[in-house]
Amino acid sequence: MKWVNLASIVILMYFLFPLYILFLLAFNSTKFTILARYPSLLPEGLTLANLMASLQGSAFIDPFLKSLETATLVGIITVVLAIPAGYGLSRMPRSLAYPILITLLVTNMMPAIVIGIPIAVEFIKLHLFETVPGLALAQTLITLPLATFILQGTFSSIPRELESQARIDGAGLARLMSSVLLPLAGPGIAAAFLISWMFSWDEFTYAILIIPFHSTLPVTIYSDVTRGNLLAGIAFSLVFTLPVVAITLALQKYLKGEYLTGGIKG
Amino acid sequence: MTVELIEITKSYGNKVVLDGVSEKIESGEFFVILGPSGEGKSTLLKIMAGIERPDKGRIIVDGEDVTNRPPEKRNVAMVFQNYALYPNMTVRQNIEFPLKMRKMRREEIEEKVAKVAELLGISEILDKKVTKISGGQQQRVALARAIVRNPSFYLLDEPLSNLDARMRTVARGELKRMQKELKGTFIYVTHDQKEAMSLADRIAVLHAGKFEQVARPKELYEYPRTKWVAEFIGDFPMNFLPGEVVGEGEIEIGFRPEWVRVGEGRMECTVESVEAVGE
Repeated sequence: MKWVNLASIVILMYFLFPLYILFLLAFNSTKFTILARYPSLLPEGLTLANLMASLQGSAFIDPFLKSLETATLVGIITVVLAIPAGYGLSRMPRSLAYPILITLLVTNMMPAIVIGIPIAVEFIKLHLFETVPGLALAQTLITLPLATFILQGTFSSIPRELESQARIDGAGLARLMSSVLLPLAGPGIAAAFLISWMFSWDEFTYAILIIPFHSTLPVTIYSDVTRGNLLAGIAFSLVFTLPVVAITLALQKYLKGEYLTGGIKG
Repeated sequence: MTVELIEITKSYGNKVVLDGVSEKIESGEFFVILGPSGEGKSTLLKIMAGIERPDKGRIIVDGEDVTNRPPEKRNVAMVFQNYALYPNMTVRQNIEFPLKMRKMRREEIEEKVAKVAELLGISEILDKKVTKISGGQQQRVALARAIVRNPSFYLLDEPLSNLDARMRTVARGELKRMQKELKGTFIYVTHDQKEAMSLADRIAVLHAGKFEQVARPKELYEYPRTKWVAEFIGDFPMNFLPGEVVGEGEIEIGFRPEWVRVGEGRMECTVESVEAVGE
Protein backbone atom coordinates (compact mmCIF):
# COMPACT_ATOMS: atom_id res chain seq x y z
CA MET A 1 0.00 0.00 0.00
CA LYS A 2 2.79 2.41 0.89
CA TRP A 3 4.30 2.06 -2.57
CA VAL A 4 0.99 2.79 -4.17
CA ASN A 5 0.73 5.96 -2.11
CA LEU A 6 4.22 7.00 -3.02
CA ALA A 7 3.55 6.37 -6.69
CA SER A 8 0.39 8.42 -6.60
CA ILE A 9 2.25 11.30 -4.95
CA VAL A 10 4.90 11.19 -7.67
CA ILE A 11 2.26 11.17 -10.41
CA LEU A 12 0.34 13.94 -8.69
CA MET A 13 3.48 16.09 -8.49
CA TYR A 14 4.20 15.42 -12.13
CA PHE A 15 0.81 16.81 -13.08
CA LEU A 16 0.70 19.63 -10.56
CA PHE A 17 4.22 20.95 -11.14
CA PRO A 18 3.35 22.96 -14.26
CA LEU A 19 0.43 24.48 -12.37
CA TYR A 20 2.81 25.35 -9.55
CA ILE A 21 5.16 27.08 -11.99
CA LEU A 22 2.18 28.96 -13.38
CA PHE A 23 1.28 30.02 -9.86
CA LEU A 24 4.85 31.26 -9.20
CA LEU A 25 4.94 33.17 -12.46
CA ALA A 26 1.63 34.80 -11.69
CA PHE A 27 2.25 35.84 -8.09
CA ASN A 28 6.02 36.16 -7.64
CA SER A 29 7.46 39.51 -8.38
CA THR A 30 8.91 39.44 -11.89
CA LYS A 31 12.43 40.00 -10.70
CA PHE A 32 12.41 36.49 -9.19
CA THR A 33 10.86 34.85 -12.25
CA ILE A 34 11.05 36.02 -15.87
CA LEU A 35 13.65 38.69 -15.14
CA ALA A 36 15.87 36.42 -13.04
CA ARG A 37 18.75 34.49 -14.43
CA TYR A 38 18.01 31.63 -12.03
CA PRO A 39 14.24 31.72 -11.42
CA SER A 40 13.20 30.85 -7.89
CA LEU A 41 11.20 27.69 -7.24
CA LEU A 42 9.75 29.13 -4.05
CA PRO A 43 7.16 31.85 -3.57
CA GLU A 44 9.14 35.08 -3.22
CA GLY A 45 8.02 38.68 -3.12
CA LEU A 46 4.37 37.75 -3.60
CA THR A 47 2.44 40.44 -5.42
CA LEU A 48 -0.82 41.01 -7.27
CA ALA A 49 0.74 43.59 -9.54
CA ASN A 50 1.32 41.14 -12.41
CA LEU A 51 -2.32 40.12 -12.50
CA MET A 52 -3.59 43.67 -12.02
CA ALA A 53 -1.53 44.94 -14.92
CA SER A 54 -2.57 42.16 -17.27
CA LEU A 55 -6.21 41.75 -16.45
CA GLN A 56 -7.12 45.39 -16.83
CA GLY A 57 -8.77 46.66 -19.96
CA SER A 58 -10.33 44.99 -22.94
CA ALA A 59 -7.26 42.92 -23.85
CA PHE A 60 -8.38 40.38 -21.30
CA ILE A 61 -12.11 40.97 -20.94
CA ASP A 62 -12.97 40.63 -24.63
CA PRO A 63 -11.49 37.17 -25.25
CA PHE A 64 -12.71 36.05 -21.81
CA LEU A 65 -16.29 37.03 -22.63
CA LYS A 66 -15.98 35.49 -26.05
CA SER A 67 -14.85 32.19 -24.56
CA LEU A 68 -17.63 32.33 -21.99
CA GLU A 69 -20.27 33.04 -24.61
CA THR A 70 -19.02 30.34 -26.94
CA ALA A 71 -18.75 27.68 -24.26
CA THR A 72 -22.20 28.44 -22.88
CA LEU A 73 -23.72 28.46 -26.33
CA VAL A 74 -22.04 25.15 -27.16
CA GLY A 75 -23.39 23.69 -23.93
CA ILE A 76 -26.91 24.87 -24.68
CA ILE A 77 -27.02 23.82 -28.35
CA THR A 78 -25.51 20.46 -27.47
CA VAL A 79 -27.91 19.68 -24.67
CA VAL A 80 -30.98 20.86 -26.58
CA LEU A 81 -30.11 18.58 -29.49
CA ALA A 82 -28.73 15.69 -27.46
CA ILE A 83 -31.77 15.29 -25.19
CA PRO A 84 -34.18 14.21 -27.96
CA ALA A 85 -31.42 12.28 -29.73
CA GLY A 86 -30.36 10.43 -26.59
CA TYR A 87 -33.95 9.75 -25.58
CA GLY A 88 -34.84 8.43 -29.02
CA LEU A 89 -31.81 6.17 -29.14
CA SER A 90 -32.47 4.84 -25.65
CA ARG A 91 -35.95 3.70 -26.71
CA MET A 92 -34.79 2.06 -29.95
CA PRO A 93 -33.90 -1.61 -30.19
CA ARG A 94 -30.23 -1.99 -29.29
CA SER A 95 -29.37 -3.60 -32.59
CA LEU A 96 -30.39 -0.34 -34.23
CA ALA A 97 -29.23 2.18 -31.63
CA TYR A 98 -25.65 0.94 -31.25
CA PRO A 99 -24.61 1.23 -34.88
CA ILE A 100 -26.03 4.76 -34.91
CA LEU A 101 -24.10 5.69 -31.78
CA ILE A 102 -20.88 4.26 -33.15
CA THR A 103 -21.37 6.15 -36.40
CA LEU A 104 -21.91 9.35 -34.44
CA LEU A 105 -18.68 8.84 -32.54
CA VAL A 106 -16.77 8.12 -35.73
CA THR A 107 -17.19 11.78 -36.68
CA ASN A 108 -14.92 12.55 -33.72
CA MET A 109 -12.10 10.58 -35.30
CA MET A 110 -11.72 13.09 -38.10
CA PRO A 111 -8.96 15.62 -37.31
CA ALA A 112 -10.48 19.00 -36.49
CA ILE A 113 -8.21 20.77 -38.92
CA VAL A 114 -9.53 18.69 -41.81
CA ILE A 115 -13.11 19.68 -41.05
CA GLY A 116 -12.26 23.14 -39.75
CA ILE A 117 -10.92 24.63 -42.96
CA PRO A 118 -13.89 23.78 -45.21
CA ILE A 119 -16.23 24.91 -42.45
CA ALA A 120 -14.41 28.22 -42.16
CA VAL A 121 -14.68 28.71 -45.93
CA GLU A 122 -18.38 27.92 -45.88
CA PHE A 123 -18.93 30.19 -42.87
CA ILE A 124 -17.40 33.16 -44.71
CA LYS A 125 -20.19 32.81 -47.24
CA LEU A 126 -22.81 32.39 -44.52
CA HIS A 127 -21.53 35.40 -42.53
CA LEU A 128 -20.73 33.11 -39.61
CA PHE A 129 -16.99 33.69 -39.89
CA GLU A 130 -15.55 35.61 -36.91
CA THR A 131 -18.78 35.09 -34.96
CA VAL A 132 -19.49 33.32 -31.69
CA PRO A 133 -22.47 31.33 -33.08
CA GLY A 134 -20.28 30.15 -35.95
CA LEU A 135 -17.58 28.84 -33.63
CA ALA A 136 -20.17 27.33 -31.31
CA LEU A 137 -21.76 25.42 -34.19
CA ALA A 138 -18.38 24.06 -35.27
CA GLN A 139 -17.47 22.94 -31.76
CA THR A 140 -20.87 21.32 -31.34
CA LEU A 141 -19.75 18.87 -34.03
CA ILE A 142 -17.48 17.32 -31.45
CA THR A 143 -19.59 17.70 -28.31
CA LEU A 144 -22.91 16.54 -29.73
CA PRO A 145 -21.96 12.88 -30.29
CA LEU A 146 -20.42 12.69 -26.81
CA ALA A 147 -23.44 14.28 -25.18
CA THR A 148 -25.80 12.03 -27.15
CA PHE A 149 -23.83 9.05 -25.92
CA ILE A 150 -24.04 10.19 -22.30
CA LEU A 151 -27.75 10.99 -22.48
CA GLN A 152 -28.55 7.77 -24.27
CA GLY A 153 -27.11 6.01 -21.23
CA THR A 154 -28.99 8.23 -18.83
CA PHE A 155 -32.35 7.71 -20.48
CA SER A 156 -31.72 3.98 -20.81
CA SER A 157 -31.41 3.80 -17.05
CA ILE A 158 -34.90 5.25 -16.55
CA PRO A 159 -37.29 2.29 -16.49
CA ARG A 160 -39.87 2.30 -19.23
CA GLU A 161 -42.56 1.50 -16.69
CA LEU A 162 -42.18 5.01 -15.31
CA GLU A 163 -43.03 6.42 -18.69
CA SER A 164 -45.97 4.08 -19.13
CA GLN A 165 -47.13 4.96 -15.65
CA ALA A 166 -46.98 8.67 -16.38
CA ARG A 167 -49.00 8.21 -19.55
CA ILE A 168 -51.57 6.07 -17.75
CA ASP A 169 -51.75 8.77 -15.09
CA GLY A 170 -52.79 11.14 -17.85
CA ALA A 171 -49.58 12.90 -18.83
CA GLY A 172 -49.03 13.81 -22.48
CA LEU A 173 -45.57 13.99 -24.00
CA ALA A 174 -44.87 17.50 -22.71
CA ARG A 175 -45.80 16.69 -19.11
CA LEU A 176 -44.03 13.36 -19.32
CA MET A 177 -40.85 15.21 -20.28
CA SER A 178 -41.11 18.08 -17.84
CA SER A 179 -42.37 16.18 -14.79
CA VAL A 180 -40.71 12.80 -15.10
CA LEU A 181 -38.00 12.31 -17.71
CA LEU A 182 -36.08 15.57 -17.47
CA PRO A 183 -35.90 15.71 -13.66
CA LEU A 184 -34.70 12.10 -13.58
CA ALA A 185 -32.17 12.72 -16.34
CA GLY A 186 -31.00 15.88 -14.55
CA PRO A 187 -27.55 14.63 -13.51
CA GLY A 188 -26.90 13.25 -16.99
CA ILE A 189 -27.99 16.49 -18.61
CA ALA A 190 -25.76 18.46 -16.25
CA ALA A 191 -22.82 16.19 -17.03
CA ALA A 192 -23.40 16.53 -20.78
CA PHE A 193 -23.63 20.30 -20.48
CA LEU A 194 -20.49 20.62 -18.39
CA ILE A 195 -18.43 18.32 -20.58
CA SER A 196 -19.48 20.28 -23.65
CA TRP A 197 -18.76 23.53 -21.86
CA MET A 198 -15.29 22.42 -20.84
CA PHE A 199 -14.46 21.11 -24.28
CA SER A 200 -15.38 24.42 -25.87
CA TRP A 201 -13.59 26.39 -23.16
CA ASP A 202 -10.14 25.12 -24.14
CA GLU A 203 -10.80 24.24 -27.77
CA PHE A 204 -8.12 25.70 -30.02
CA THR A 205 -8.20 24.42 -33.61
CA TYR A 206 -11.71 25.50 -34.57
CA ALA A 207 -11.26 28.73 -32.63
CA ILE A 208 -8.18 29.80 -34.54
CA LEU A 209 -9.71 28.80 -37.86
CA ILE A 210 -13.12 30.35 -37.41
CA ILE A 211 -12.34 33.37 -35.23
CA PRO A 212 -8.71 34.15 -36.12
CA PHE A 213 -8.68 37.89 -35.34
CA HIS A 214 -10.52 38.67 -32.11
CA SER A 215 -10.52 35.18 -30.75
CA THR A 216 -11.25 33.23 -27.59
CA LEU A 217 -8.94 32.92 -24.59
CA PRO A 218 -6.90 29.86 -25.70
CA VAL A 219 -6.00 31.54 -28.98
CA THR A 220 -5.27 34.84 -27.22
CA ILE A 221 -2.99 33.13 -24.71
CA TYR A 222 -1.20 31.43 -27.56
CA SER A 223 -0.59 34.67 -29.43
CA ASP A 224 0.46 36.51 -26.25
CA VAL A 225 3.02 33.85 -25.41
CA THR A 226 4.39 33.59 -28.95
CA ARG A 227 4.65 37.36 -29.28
CA GLY A 228 6.56 37.68 -26.03
CA ASN A 229 3.77 39.14 -23.91
CA LEU A 230 4.49 36.54 -21.24
CA LEU A 231 2.90 38.19 -18.24
CA ALA A 232 -0.44 38.55 -20.00
CA GLY A 233 -0.26 34.93 -21.12
CA ILE A 234 0.42 33.84 -17.56
CA ALA A 235 -2.37 35.86 -16.03
CA PHE A 236 -4.85 34.72 -18.63
CA SER A 237 -3.82 31.11 -18.18
CA LEU A 238 -4.43 31.33 -14.47
CA VAL A 239 -7.90 32.82 -14.86
CA PHE A 240 -8.51 30.37 -17.65
CA THR A 241 -7.78 27.39 -15.40
CA LEU A 242 -10.04 28.33 -12.52
CA PRO A 243 -13.44 27.58 -14.12
CA VAL A 244 -12.11 24.24 -15.30
CA VAL A 245 -11.06 23.28 -11.78
CA ALA A 246 -14.39 24.42 -10.38
CA ILE A 247 -16.36 22.55 -13.00
CA THR A 248 -14.31 19.40 -12.65
CA LEU A 249 -15.10 19.37 -8.95
CA ALA A 250 -18.79 19.86 -9.69
CA LEU A 251 -18.72 17.21 -12.36
CA GLN A 252 -17.04 14.70 -10.08
CA LYS A 253 -20.13 14.63 -7.90
CA TYR A 254 -22.30 13.70 -10.88
CA LEU A 255 -19.90 11.20 -12.36
CA LYS A 256 -19.80 9.10 -9.25
CA GLY A 257 -23.58 9.25 -8.88
CA GLU A 258 -25.59 6.09 -9.33
CA TYR A 259 -27.31 7.37 -12.41
CA LEU A 260 -24.65 5.98 -14.75
CA THR A 261 -25.22 2.46 -13.48
CA GLY A 262 -28.97 2.71 -13.77
CA GLY A 263 -29.50 3.08 -10.05
CA ILE A 264 -32.88 4.73 -10.39
CA LYS A 265 -35.33 2.70 -8.41
CA GLY A 266 -38.82 2.45 -9.83
CA MET B 1 -67.42 -1.07 -15.41
CA THR B 2 -67.37 -4.03 -17.72
CA VAL B 3 -64.32 -4.70 -19.81
CA GLU B 4 -64.71 -6.79 -22.91
CA LEU B 5 -61.82 -8.25 -24.88
CA ILE B 6 -62.59 -9.38 -28.40
CA GLU B 7 -60.15 -11.60 -30.25
CA ILE B 8 -57.01 -9.79 -29.04
CA THR B 9 -54.00 -10.82 -31.10
CA LYS B 10 -50.42 -9.68 -30.68
CA SER B 11 -47.13 -10.96 -32.00
CA TYR B 12 -43.55 -9.75 -31.78
CA GLY B 13 -41.78 -10.65 -34.98
CA ASN B 14 -42.53 -14.29 -35.57
CA LYS B 15 -43.51 -14.98 -32.00
CA VAL B 16 -47.24 -15.01 -31.46
CA VAL B 17 -47.79 -13.89 -27.87
CA LEU B 18 -51.55 -13.52 -27.84
CA ASP B 19 -53.63 -15.51 -30.24
CA GLY B 20 -57.21 -14.37 -30.04
CA VAL B 21 -58.03 -13.68 -26.41
CA SER B 22 -61.70 -13.02 -25.74
CA GLU B 23 -63.50 -12.57 -22.44
CA LYS B 24 -65.97 -10.29 -20.75
CA ILE B 25 -64.97 -9.04 -17.34
CA GLU B 26 -67.91 -7.99 -15.19
CA SER B 27 -68.24 -4.84 -13.18
CA GLY B 28 -66.83 -5.16 -9.66
CA GLU B 29 -65.14 -8.43 -10.45
CA PHE B 30 -61.73 -9.49 -9.21
CA PHE B 31 -60.43 -11.08 -12.36
CA VAL B 32 -57.06 -12.84 -12.19
CA ILE B 33 -55.03 -13.75 -15.25
CA LEU B 34 -52.83 -16.68 -14.30
CA GLY B 35 -50.12 -18.24 -16.37
CA PRO B 36 -46.47 -19.25 -16.39
CA SER B 37 -43.80 -16.60 -16.98
CA GLY B 38 -43.36 -15.44 -20.54
CA GLU B 39 -46.87 -16.31 -21.67
CA GLY B 40 -47.86 -12.74 -22.50
CA LYS B 41 -49.79 -11.88 -19.34
CA SER B 42 -48.10 -8.53 -19.00
CA THR B 43 -48.53 -7.86 -22.70
CA LEU B 44 -52.25 -8.39 -22.38
CA LEU B 45 -52.36 -5.99 -19.46
CA LYS B 46 -50.37 -3.40 -21.39
CA ILE B 47 -52.79 -3.71 -24.27
CA MET B 48 -55.69 -3.06 -21.89
CA ALA B 49 -53.83 -0.04 -20.54
CA GLY B 50 -53.13 1.25 -24.03
CA ILE B 51 -49.34 1.12 -23.74
CA GLU B 52 -49.21 -1.53 -26.45
CA ARG B 53 -51.47 -1.85 -29.42
CA PRO B 54 -53.04 -5.15 -30.36
CA ASP B 55 -52.39 -6.38 -33.90
CA LYS B 56 -56.02 -7.37 -34.12
CA GLY B 57 -59.04 -7.33 -31.86
CA ARG B 58 -60.96 -4.77 -29.87
CA ILE B 59 -61.37 -3.63 -26.29
CA ILE B 60 -64.80 -2.45 -25.21
CA VAL B 61 -65.16 -0.64 -21.89
CA ASP B 62 -68.75 -0.10 -20.83
CA GLY B 63 -69.96 -0.41 -24.39
CA GLU B 64 -67.35 2.02 -25.72
CA ASP B 65 -64.59 0.95 -28.07
CA VAL B 66 -61.30 2.18 -26.58
CA THR B 67 -58.93 0.14 -28.75
CA ASN B 68 -57.36 3.15 -30.41
CA ARG B 69 -57.27 5.46 -27.43
CA PRO B 70 -53.88 6.36 -25.92
CA PRO B 71 -53.40 5.45 -22.25
CA GLU B 72 -53.88 9.02 -21.04
CA LYS B 73 -57.42 9.03 -22.43
CA ARG B 74 -58.58 5.69 -21.01
CA ASN B 75 -58.93 6.44 -17.33
CA VAL B 76 -57.41 3.18 -16.19
CA ALA B 77 -55.12 2.78 -13.21
CA MET B 78 -52.19 0.44 -13.28
CA VAL B 79 -49.86 -0.88 -10.62
CA PHE B 80 -46.61 -2.24 -11.99
CA GLN B 81 -44.54 -5.01 -10.50
CA ASN B 82 -41.80 -2.55 -9.56
CA TYR B 83 -44.48 0.01 -8.55
CA ALA B 84 -43.09 2.62 -11.00
CA LEU B 85 -43.17 5.35 -8.38
CA TYR B 86 -41.69 8.62 -9.59
CA PRO B 87 -38.36 8.64 -7.77
CA ASN B 88 -37.99 12.40 -8.05
CA MET B 89 -41.14 13.04 -6.04
CA THR B 90 -42.42 12.60 -2.52
CA VAL B 91 -45.17 10.16 -1.61
CA ARG B 92 -47.70 12.97 -1.70
CA GLN B 93 -46.56 14.22 -5.10
CA ASN B 94 -46.75 10.69 -6.46
CA ILE B 95 -50.33 10.24 -5.34
CA GLU B 96 -51.29 13.72 -6.54
CA PHE B 97 -49.80 13.25 -9.98
CA PRO B 98 -52.82 11.73 -11.78
CA LEU B 99 -55.14 14.30 -10.19
CA LYS B 100 -52.90 17.18 -11.22
CA MET B 101 -52.92 15.86 -14.76
CA ARG B 102 -56.69 16.27 -14.67
CA LYS B 103 -56.33 19.88 -13.54
CA MET B 104 -58.31 19.27 -10.40
CA ARG B 105 -58.64 22.07 -7.87
CA ARG B 106 -55.98 22.28 -5.15
CA GLU B 107 -58.37 21.74 -2.21
CA GLU B 108 -60.04 18.81 -3.91
CA ILE B 109 -56.68 17.16 -4.53
CA GLU B 110 -55.62 17.60 -0.93
CA GLU B 111 -58.87 16.18 0.34
CA LYS B 112 -58.66 13.12 -1.89
CA VAL B 113 -55.01 12.44 -1.06
CA ALA B 114 -55.69 12.69 2.65
CA LYS B 115 -58.60 10.29 2.33
CA VAL B 116 -56.76 7.64 0.35
CA ALA B 117 -53.68 7.93 2.57
CA GLU B 118 -55.90 7.31 5.56
CA LEU B 119 -57.46 4.29 3.87
CA LEU B 120 -54.07 2.73 3.19
CA GLY B 121 -52.42 3.83 6.42
CA ILE B 122 -49.70 5.92 4.84
CA SER B 123 -50.69 9.34 6.23
CA GLU B 124 -47.47 9.58 8.24
CA ILE B 125 -45.12 9.12 5.33
CA LEU B 126 -46.80 11.49 2.86
CA ASP B 127 -43.89 13.92 2.83
CA LYS B 128 -41.12 11.38 2.58
CA LYS B 129 -39.26 10.63 -0.61
CA VAL B 130 -40.51 7.44 -2.21
CA THR B 131 -36.95 6.11 -2.39
CA LYS B 132 -36.68 6.36 1.41
CA ILE B 133 -39.63 4.12 2.35
CA SER B 134 -39.90 0.34 2.67
CA GLY B 135 -41.04 -2.04 -0.06
CA GLY B 136 -44.39 -2.63 1.64
CA GLN B 137 -44.96 1.11 1.90
CA GLN B 138 -44.00 1.60 -1.73
CA GLN B 139 -46.57 -0.97 -2.70
CA ARG B 140 -49.24 0.92 -0.75
CA VAL B 141 -48.23 4.20 -2.33
CA ALA B 142 -48.56 2.65 -5.78
CA LEU B 143 -51.98 1.36 -4.81
CA ALA B 144 -52.96 4.73 -3.38
CA ARG B 145 -51.98 6.44 -6.61
CA ALA B 146 -54.18 3.99 -8.51
CA ILE B 147 -57.17 4.33 -6.20
CA VAL B 148 -57.12 8.10 -5.78
CA ARG B 149 -58.18 8.82 -9.33
CA ASN B 150 -61.28 6.67 -9.30
CA PRO B 151 -60.53 4.86 -12.56
CA SER B 152 -62.95 2.84 -14.68
CA PHE B 153 -60.92 -0.26 -13.91
CA TYR B 154 -57.66 -1.32 -12.26
CA LEU B 155 -54.81 -3.23 -13.83
CA LEU B 156 -52.34 -4.88 -11.49
CA ASP B 157 -49.19 -6.55 -12.76
CA GLU B 158 -47.87 -8.88 -10.06
CA PRO B 159 -47.97 -6.08 -7.51
CA LEU B 160 -47.12 -8.35 -4.59
CA SER B 161 -44.18 -10.25 -6.02
CA ASN B 162 -41.57 -7.83 -4.69
CA LEU B 163 -42.72 -8.26 -1.10
CA ASP B 164 -41.36 -10.87 1.27
CA ALA B 165 -43.55 -13.91 1.92
CA ARG B 166 -45.14 -12.67 5.14
CA MET B 167 -45.89 -9.18 3.86
CA ARG B 168 -47.36 -10.73 0.77
CA THR B 169 -50.01 -12.65 2.70
CA VAL B 170 -51.01 -9.55 4.62
CA ALA B 171 -51.08 -7.38 1.51
CA ARG B 172 -53.15 -10.00 -0.28
CA GLY B 173 -55.91 -9.82 2.32
CA GLU B 174 -55.81 -6.06 2.27
CA LEU B 175 -56.03 -5.91 -1.48
CA LYS B 176 -59.09 -8.11 -1.51
CA ARG B 177 -60.75 -6.03 1.20
CA MET B 178 -59.92 -2.86 -0.69
CA GLN B 179 -61.43 -4.18 -3.88
CA LYS B 180 -64.69 -5.13 -2.15
CA GLU B 181 -64.84 -1.73 -0.47
CA LEU B 182 -64.27 0.17 -3.71
CA LYS B 183 -66.46 -2.20 -5.70
CA GLY B 184 -63.81 -1.79 -8.37
CA THR B 185 -63.12 -3.94 -11.38
CA PHE B 186 -59.69 -5.40 -10.73
CA ILE B 187 -57.72 -7.17 -13.42
CA TYR B 188 -54.77 -8.82 -11.81
CA VAL B 189 -51.89 -10.67 -13.41
CA THR B 190 -49.84 -13.24 -11.55
CA HIS B 191 -47.93 -16.48 -11.97
CA ASP B 192 -48.54 -17.42 -8.35
CA GLN B 193 -51.56 -19.68 -8.17
CA LYS B 194 -51.97 -19.37 -4.39
CA GLU B 195 -52.38 -15.66 -4.93
CA ALA B 196 -54.80 -16.26 -7.78
CA MET B 197 -56.87 -18.76 -5.78
CA SER B 198 -57.20 -16.53 -2.72
CA LEU B 199 -57.95 -13.29 -4.57
CA ALA B 200 -59.95 -14.13 -7.61
CA ASP B 201 -63.65 -14.15 -8.29
CA ARG B 202 -62.69 -15.75 -11.56
CA ILE B 203 -59.35 -16.97 -12.86
CA ALA B 204 -58.35 -17.02 -16.51
CA VAL B 205 -55.52 -19.40 -17.30
CA LEU B 206 -53.42 -18.00 -20.11
CA HIS B 207 -51.55 -20.58 -22.15
CA ALA B 208 -50.19 -20.50 -25.68
CA GLY B 209 -51.76 -17.12 -26.36
CA LYS B 210 -55.27 -18.10 -25.36
CA PHE B 211 -57.40 -18.31 -22.25
CA GLU B 212 -57.31 -22.03 -21.76
CA GLN B 213 -60.02 -21.85 -19.13
CA VAL B 214 -61.90 -19.14 -17.31
CA ALA B 215 -63.56 -20.28 -14.12
CA ARG B 216 -64.04 -19.73 -10.40
CA PRO B 217 -61.02 -20.92 -8.38
CA LYS B 218 -62.71 -24.00 -6.95
CA GLU B 219 -64.06 -25.03 -10.29
CA LEU B 220 -60.68 -24.58 -11.88
CA TYR B 221 -59.13 -26.85 -9.29
CA GLU B 222 -61.76 -29.55 -9.38
CA TYR B 223 -62.92 -29.46 -12.96
CA PRO B 224 -59.98 -28.38 -15.15
CA ARG B 225 -61.05 -28.33 -18.75
CA THR B 226 -57.78 -29.51 -20.24
CA LYS B 227 -54.95 -31.70 -19.12
CA TRP B 228 -52.59 -28.75 -19.26
CA VAL B 229 -54.70 -26.78 -16.77
CA ALA B 230 -54.99 -29.85 -14.57
CA GLU B 231 -51.24 -30.15 -14.40
CA PHE B 232 -50.63 -26.43 -14.01
CA ILE B 233 -53.11 -25.79 -11.20
CA GLY B 234 -52.49 -27.08 -7.70
CA ASP B 235 -49.43 -27.56 -5.53
CA PHE B 236 -48.96 -30.88 -7.28
CA PRO B 237 -49.99 -31.58 -10.83
CA MET B 238 -53.09 -33.69 -11.15
CA ASN B 239 -52.44 -37.44 -11.39
CA PHE B 240 -53.50 -39.34 -14.45
CA LEU B 241 -54.34 -42.98 -14.95
CA PRO B 242 -55.22 -44.61 -18.23
CA GLY B 243 -58.80 -45.81 -18.29
CA GLU B 244 -61.58 -46.79 -20.58
CA VAL B 245 -65.21 -45.83 -20.96
CA VAL B 246 -66.85 -49.10 -21.81
CA GLY B 247 -67.86 -49.08 -25.43
CA GLU B 248 -66.42 -45.59 -26.10
CA GLY B 249 -62.67 -46.15 -26.10
CA GLU B 250 -59.64 -45.04 -24.15
CA ILE B 251 -59.62 -42.02 -21.81
CA GLU B 252 -57.42 -40.66 -19.04
CA ILE B 253 -58.70 -40.27 -15.52
CA GLY B 254 -57.34 -37.35 -13.55
CA PHE B 255 -57.46 -37.04 -9.78
CA ARG B 256 -56.01 -34.88 -7.01
CA PRO B 257 -53.86 -36.52 -4.32
CA GLU B 258 -56.29 -35.60 -1.53
CA TRP B 259 -59.13 -37.34 -3.36
CA VAL B 260 -57.44 -40.66 -2.77
CA ARG B 261 -58.86 -42.74 0.04
CA VAL B 262 -56.73 -45.51 1.40
CA GLY B 263 -58.15 -48.95 2.13
CA GLU B 264 -61.03 -48.95 -0.30
CA GLY B 265 -61.33 -50.24 -3.82
CA ARG B 266 -59.13 -52.58 -5.77
CA MET B 267 -56.14 -50.51 -6.81
CA GLU B 268 -52.73 -50.90 -5.25
CA CYS B 269 -49.82 -48.51 -5.01
CA THR B 270 -46.51 -48.08 -3.27
CA VAL B 271 -45.45 -45.08 -1.18
CA GLU B 272 -42.10 -43.93 -2.49
CA SER B 273 -41.46 -40.94 -0.29
CA VAL B 274 -43.15 -38.78 2.34
CA GLU B 275 -42.74 -35.02 2.55
CA ALA B 276 -43.75 -32.86 5.49
CA VAL B 277 -45.57 -29.76 4.27
CA GLY B 278 -46.69 -28.40 7.60
CA GLU B 279 -50.36 -29.28 7.66
